[in-house]
Amino acid sequence: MDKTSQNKYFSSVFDKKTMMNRFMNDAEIACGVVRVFLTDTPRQLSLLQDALKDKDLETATRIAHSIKGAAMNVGGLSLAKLAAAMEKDGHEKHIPAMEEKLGQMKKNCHDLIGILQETFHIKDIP
Amino acid sequence: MKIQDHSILVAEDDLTSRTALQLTLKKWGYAPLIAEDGEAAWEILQDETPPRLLILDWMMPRLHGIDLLRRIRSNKLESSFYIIMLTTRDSTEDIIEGLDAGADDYLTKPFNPGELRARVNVGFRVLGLQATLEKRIRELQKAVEHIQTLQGILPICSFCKKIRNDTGYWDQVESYIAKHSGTRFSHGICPDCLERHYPDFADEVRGQ
Repeated sequence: MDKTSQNKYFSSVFDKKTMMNRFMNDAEIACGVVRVFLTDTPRQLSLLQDALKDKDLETATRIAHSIKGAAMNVGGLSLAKLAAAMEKDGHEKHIPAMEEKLGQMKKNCHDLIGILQETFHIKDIP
Repeated sequence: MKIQDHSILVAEDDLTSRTALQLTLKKWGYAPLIAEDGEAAWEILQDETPPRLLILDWMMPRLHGIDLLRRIRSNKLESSFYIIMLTTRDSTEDIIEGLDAGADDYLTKPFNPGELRARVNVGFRVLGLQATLEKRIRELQKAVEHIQTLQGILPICSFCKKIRNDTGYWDQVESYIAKHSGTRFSHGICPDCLERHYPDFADEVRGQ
């Protein structure tokens, strides 16, 4: 991936301006929310994976819905979009489509976590 | 305004969204009480002095926010609540369903902080007006009860003119009226009583 494509990709993964506007440019609040996101979202993804493995459609849809909300809070645009699409699949009872999106969501979440750690200078995830 | 008047019940299952709301509301000087799902929120509402302003997510485990909303409105709880639905569900149908279920306001996520703050302020303003109105109604009901008591048949002693009160004791007329109407008395002597009790002084007054 060249530099321009990489920048484009990163800006689709994380929208700092939108996030900071959401928290009235209060770095303390933003950082507090990011810390919670860094701890909780990987756990949610793992629960989502388990729910899909168990074909538990209701739980999987609810977790996708939660991840969508969490990602929107930290400016994670593409993760929010993926989670929204997965939630829609869930409402349509389309488990294979949900399973297909899981890999992409994990990759996206991994990238978002990296960018957030770098932006907010968080070395260790609590 | 009392401390509990600043408290807000936030029912949100997603930890990140919950933290965002909690930190934002705290920064504005409110006291958010957190519930992780609808059932936990319902338990908090059973307290003696529950928060009167509620922010509910729609979709939650155990009990959805929309179902909690319906439960609150159908249970006719003693306290009145101002309920804001805060959800990612943004279709017109969802907004109509939320308001029809009894929400006072509806906001979509991700929320704009200025808008949320303004709507929370509206909520507290409405609750304040409601409290004033409830107080006035209580005062009026009490006044009506007093008037009804005064207008009813009063047992009065044929000789000393004392009145039998609600507890069966006999009160002086003036103390009974003062107690039931708030009237204050000043004491004087009418010409007949002056004649009977102070005849000399009555003659003197008549002579003048």
